[in-house]
Amino acid sequence: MAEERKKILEMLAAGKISVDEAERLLSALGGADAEVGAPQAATAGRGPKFLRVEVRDGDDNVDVRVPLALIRAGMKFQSLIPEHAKVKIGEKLDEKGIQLDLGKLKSGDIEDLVAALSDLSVNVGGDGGEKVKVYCE
Amino acid sequence: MLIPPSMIYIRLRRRHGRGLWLLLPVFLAWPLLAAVEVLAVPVVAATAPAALPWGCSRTVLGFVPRMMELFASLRGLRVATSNGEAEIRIVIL
Repeated sequence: MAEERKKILEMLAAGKISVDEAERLLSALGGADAEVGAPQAATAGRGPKFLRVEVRDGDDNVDVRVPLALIRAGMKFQSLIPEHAKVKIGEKLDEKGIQLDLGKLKSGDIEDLVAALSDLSVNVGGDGGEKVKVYCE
Repeated sequence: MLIPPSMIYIRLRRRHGRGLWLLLPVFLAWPLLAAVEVLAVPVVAATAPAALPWGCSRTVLGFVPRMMELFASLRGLRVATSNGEAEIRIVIL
């Protein structure tokens, strides 16, 4: 698989394929990797991989695609926060009216959150023709 | 397994005028990152016990692996923004 990835990147560097084509090929290769790997990895590979946020307002457009793995990795950082800092963060969040105890957040909760995000689909339209779409793909 | 980003593609384009695109070979930095990870091991091993009284040893031990995981998770990130005049697109491959 590493050889195939290298070949795709070489084709991209040589200008034989576009970035979009390279992205599609690498994603397809990623899916194939998951199928070859452990059964758990294959199961995980079937779900959505990205969180998409699209904002369209006339000529102004923003399109962001965030890998769910990045959200997962970011969430895992909370386990590195020292206990005393977690207490302080909890107090500050409480002052703002947010009831969140970081100490009680487990890795299973992170998976639940990511799974919940996978089902998320938000579609908002404004009077001025602006549109906001949030979904997973 | 998470594969770290190989390339970063940046494209800046104006409606009237020339565009600019860059393809940064991030994979060239992989050996450097691996070296940093290896070099961090003795530093972390020495610092973690010292951080124990402050309750930060877990933070010290987990920081480098978590940062590497975060870096590897960047693959697939895409930000594209445009208005009537210009377009900016950043893709991490």
